[in-house]
Amino acid sequence: MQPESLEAPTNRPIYSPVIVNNKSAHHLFICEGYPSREFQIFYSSVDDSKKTLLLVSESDSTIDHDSILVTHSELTAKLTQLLGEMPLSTTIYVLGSEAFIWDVHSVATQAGMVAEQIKMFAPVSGQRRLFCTHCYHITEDVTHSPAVCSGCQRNLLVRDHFSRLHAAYVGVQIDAEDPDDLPLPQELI
Amino acid sequence: MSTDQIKVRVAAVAQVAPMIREFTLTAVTGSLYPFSPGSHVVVEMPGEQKIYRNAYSLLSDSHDASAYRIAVRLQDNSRGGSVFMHQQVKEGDELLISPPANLFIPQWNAQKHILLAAGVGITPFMSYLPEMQRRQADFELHYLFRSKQTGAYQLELAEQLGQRFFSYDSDQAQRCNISELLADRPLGTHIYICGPEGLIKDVQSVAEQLGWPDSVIHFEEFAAPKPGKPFTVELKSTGKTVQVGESESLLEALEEAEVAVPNLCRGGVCGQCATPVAEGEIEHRDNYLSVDEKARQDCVMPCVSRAHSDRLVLDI
Repeated sequence: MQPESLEAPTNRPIYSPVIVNNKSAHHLFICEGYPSREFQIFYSSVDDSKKTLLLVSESDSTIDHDSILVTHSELTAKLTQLLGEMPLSTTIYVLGSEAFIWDVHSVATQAGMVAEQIKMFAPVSGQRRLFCTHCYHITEDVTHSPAVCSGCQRNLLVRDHFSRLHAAYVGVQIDAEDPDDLPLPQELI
Repeated sequence: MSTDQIKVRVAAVAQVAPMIREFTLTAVTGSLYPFSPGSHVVVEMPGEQKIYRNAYSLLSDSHDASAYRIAVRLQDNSRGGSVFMHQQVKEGDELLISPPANLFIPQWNAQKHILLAAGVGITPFMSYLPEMQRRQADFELHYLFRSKQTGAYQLELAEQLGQRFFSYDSDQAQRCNISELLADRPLGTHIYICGPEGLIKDVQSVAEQLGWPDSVIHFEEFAAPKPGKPFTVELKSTGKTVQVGESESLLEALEEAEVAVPNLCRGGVCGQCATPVAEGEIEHRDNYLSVDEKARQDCVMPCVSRAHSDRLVLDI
């Protein structure tokens, strides 16, 4: 992984433009929430007989009568079941928050898929999942740093260090030495 | 190379196929290192003319490191190593080997493992099988051989593996159809090939047509460096020159001349021996460098690659 610039070294995933893998026998599109116009056009470019659309949402809305709708909590079971029925020559295209796309990556890898079969669109928002290195608790949808850990209430510096295993950024307490020295929160990008 | 070596005793020698001999190696002092399925060791063979070093897969169950077992096929165009093992090495002899290294590890998150062995290429899978059975992994073994030459362990494998075992004896006109073997495989399938380059290429070409991702194909090629035309190699730093003969590799010639080059697989796979090149035209024969890296002509894998030009200058 390449740092974005010398001034700000990071350990964040880099998302390349997604193109359809024409060699694949089957294409599985996965989208969190309502699919963007761009994603819909991308989806339409693939032959109907070779594709499946999985929408992950808490509300009951579909764009396509053939799509499969699940909630976040149902995702792992449904995706595992779908992958078990698909040919080896399958490609996944996934759009959503960064934590979501890496959750999908993790389920797909568990099913024996390899990285080049999982195409990830750039995350739709700057929200981060935060992993606390002190209590191992996960805090969702973090937008600013420092952020308060939902497990141990420590003030965590949100580092630009992404863990693929946890699909989360690493957070470390920032005011351990001096509780009065807490930097002003800055918006994460 | 030398500091890490282990001295072992040849505890047993057995003929396991017309052209294949198995050697059981035990520690002379202390105990042997544990190893993982797919591991190999490099055996040093002090021949009369020169020292040969060949890599051989460990055959035994990785849960039992009380002895290592290797199997050596007498090569038709042997450069000396396999002849030495077959003709010189006897029970009770001592040999120097490297500690085990592994460049052919099973992918444990696969849903299905297809093992494809040709001839003596059965060897790495001998250490896969006990672990796959312990983990209750879903696998099949397809074993291609010529019973007049190879086919080691086929009877015990047939007995142990039952329906998971498929044998193809080309001396009985039994052929393995690669297209049928790969057709209709479910997602999560990984294939492992140990055999000649032609077999690996066949699998890669069928897999590409089927749209398989490259990373589900794992292979280990029979790795003896092939001969080529002699050339001179020069070290840029000291101006020292070394002649590379027709039947020796660049790495062997350098070792002979006491030029140390770190190395591991000696078969053009691992990348350990990568050496910068300042001048001369390289004949790349490895599986490590990418097409682009090869085209740059600035780095060579001396374990298998050679020179097109009469002279090659190494930037060391």
